Amino acid sequence: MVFNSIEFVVFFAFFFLVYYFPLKEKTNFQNIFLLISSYFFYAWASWKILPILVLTTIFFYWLGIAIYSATNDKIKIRYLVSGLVVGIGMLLYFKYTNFLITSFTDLFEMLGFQTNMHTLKIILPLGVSFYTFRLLSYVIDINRGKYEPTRDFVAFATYVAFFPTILSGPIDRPNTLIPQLQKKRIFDNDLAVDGCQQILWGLFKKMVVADNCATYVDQVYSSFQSQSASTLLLGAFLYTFQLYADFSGYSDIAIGLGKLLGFNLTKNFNYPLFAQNIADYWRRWHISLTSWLTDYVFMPLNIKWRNIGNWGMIFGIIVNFLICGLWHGGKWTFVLWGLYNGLLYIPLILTGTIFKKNKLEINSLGFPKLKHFGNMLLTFLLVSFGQIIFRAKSIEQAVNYIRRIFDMSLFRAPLLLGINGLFFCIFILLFIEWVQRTKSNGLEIHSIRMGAVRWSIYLSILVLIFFFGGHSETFIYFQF
Amino acid sequence: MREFCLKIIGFFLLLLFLVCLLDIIISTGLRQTEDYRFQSWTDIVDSKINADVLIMGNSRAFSHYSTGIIDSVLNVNSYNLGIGGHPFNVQYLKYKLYEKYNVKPKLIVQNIDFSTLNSSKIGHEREQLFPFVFDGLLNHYLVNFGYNRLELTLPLYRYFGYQMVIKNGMFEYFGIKHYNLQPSYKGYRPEQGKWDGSELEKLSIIKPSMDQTTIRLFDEYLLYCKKNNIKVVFVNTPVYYKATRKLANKVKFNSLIYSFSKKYNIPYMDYTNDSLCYDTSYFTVAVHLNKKGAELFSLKLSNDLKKMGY
Repeated sequence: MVFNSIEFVVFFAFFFLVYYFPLKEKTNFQNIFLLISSYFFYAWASWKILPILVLTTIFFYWLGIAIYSATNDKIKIRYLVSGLVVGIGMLLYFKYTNFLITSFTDLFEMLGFQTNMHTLKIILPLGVSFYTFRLLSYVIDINRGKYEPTRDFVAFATYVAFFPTILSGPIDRPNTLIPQLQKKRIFDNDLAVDGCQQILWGLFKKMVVADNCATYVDQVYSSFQSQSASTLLLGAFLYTFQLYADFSGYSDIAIGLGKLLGFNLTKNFNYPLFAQNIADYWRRWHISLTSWLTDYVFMPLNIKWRNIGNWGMIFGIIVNFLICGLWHGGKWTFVLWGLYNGLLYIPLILTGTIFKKNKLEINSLGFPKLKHFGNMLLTFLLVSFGQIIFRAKSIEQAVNYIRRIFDMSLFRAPLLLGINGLFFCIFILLFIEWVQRTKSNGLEIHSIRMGAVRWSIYLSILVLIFFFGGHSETFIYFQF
Repeated sequence: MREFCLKIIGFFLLLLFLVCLLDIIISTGLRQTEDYRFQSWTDIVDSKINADVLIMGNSRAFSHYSTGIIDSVLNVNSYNLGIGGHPFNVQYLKYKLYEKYNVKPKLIVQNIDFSTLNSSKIGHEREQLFPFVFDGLLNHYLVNFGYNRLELTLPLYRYFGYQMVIKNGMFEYFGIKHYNLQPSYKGYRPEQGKWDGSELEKLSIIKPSMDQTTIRLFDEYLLYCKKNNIKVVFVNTPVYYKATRKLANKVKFNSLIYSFSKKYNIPYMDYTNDSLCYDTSYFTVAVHLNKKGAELFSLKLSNDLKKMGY
């Protein structure tokens, strides 16, 4: 059930009415209803994958209590390790078994040995990367003494399976969502309106920008051998927009739905297209994942290797991004993409500017000053090249694609394939997000007092969705 | 909460009003175009046809049968209801709509070829029916032809994703631009272009499909015509002879057509061996006559019909 479908609209409308009318302010019943609805939502894709979610939820619920109740550190660690083994093991099995089999097969064949290994038919449970990370952070933080485990199974299970976020995040931490689940939720009109605005903005990004970019990008990638360098470059840029609009659009809808239900979820994107450098970009992109990796991968490694100065940080960053790449799936392109992003940090680390947050200077017209605009363009270019690797089916395809960009046909006009309307929509996206860059989302317009003006803006966005909405594509991050 | 719900309801009511308005604008605009996709349907629902002679069939119908020539030779008012890319089950739907708004014809020239008795949903150029889905008859049947309930119930929903169609409808409505994409003359739209035999080279066999439901529908239609004194003739138009040679199940297909012909006393005029079939200068591709070929064929057909007393 995707968010931009009639089935979901019907499902959510029914859910919302029951949640706030008969179950109004009855927290326990609301949570039970939320949990059942979340399981229903999850099972809609395939009921066969639901038991995995339920069983892992039960296991980690028990594990959290066991870790907290453990009488000594050794037993605590054993419990924690068992949790890590189950969680990471689950990811390894579902996501990387076939990757490992094909990699070993290729390696043996390269060495001249024939193998009879076949890939397995493994169904990837939807959202497994997201909810596994939720579960792992729960037990790790309990072990670290950051908080106590919850004894409320329903609240815990809802935290894991929360339907707005289970399929593609944000990856909320236990201490942000579980307390909200245990607290009484009174309908907040301002939060609900904010939620609706964010949902509408997310729909615009997904249906207008992402889906239209996808049409062009798919055509370019499927025939890249015969396209000019300028077309390939345009394809790369549009893929960056597609990925951003698709994923941030989904996050906006998920967060907006959370707000409608009275929850404040983790912000997942902070206008990464305006990033000044790669570090700034990753502070703004998929924030819930990057902060998870920072807390549980990068910081421990950084502390462990602090004695080797900058090189310790460099190794830590590279390992961090290799894991980030692998998190997306079992493909060498993801590994290479992660490595590429990690290597881009090296100049920042060596110059000591990795943690420096450059204040964005604005000119008299309200646009970034030339130097900062230049930084944004450079960052965008570097990110786009990385996305070529991310999008490619194989490393060979990625290399060929990039190689073909460095050709004299770069100065020829690119093939446009009727995407003039798309440029207009990308301009709208960038303009609105620039103006709203200090707000939580592009359509946060409480400051406009006149209701008629706000409604006109909402209707204009809907008109744009109608006129420019592309053919429906699945959300990209569902595959992770 | 109450205030929020009231605002949401109010907003959606306003949205519904705007959506209905847009639907009317776009649909009306598309009906005003001379775009071949919408033209014949518009003529039907506007009761502009009321023909003595109707031509029914697929793309071979609308591109092979010149209504101008048929009118002048037979001294009738003919109209070509050919619908490209669709077999009889869809053609019959168009005929039913025709009868709802126009007088019954005296004669139906039913094009017969290897795809007539197939069955399909409306997949090719499905936007051709967008301005008309709220017609009672179409709304009832279209759910069986690949249109979902949402498209047939919610205003504007069916247009989503068809940006050019939306734009054309709006531009036409507001007089910004007039569209005359391949306008037809009373449904006749000849093919232009030179012979291209590449598709024929790729084809190994052409297998006529015979769907049982379509066959029953065809029988029902012929019975209806008989009961309502509507004369019918079957016509198999010229096709490049090499394509005819690639037809499999020819005997089975022809015997089925002949059985209908005998049952309802319907003449079967088979031009698949006509002299036109041996000259590529009359064809664009193996199964489509060009304008020159179509007009020659139409003249032959009209004279043959005249000799038969039609």
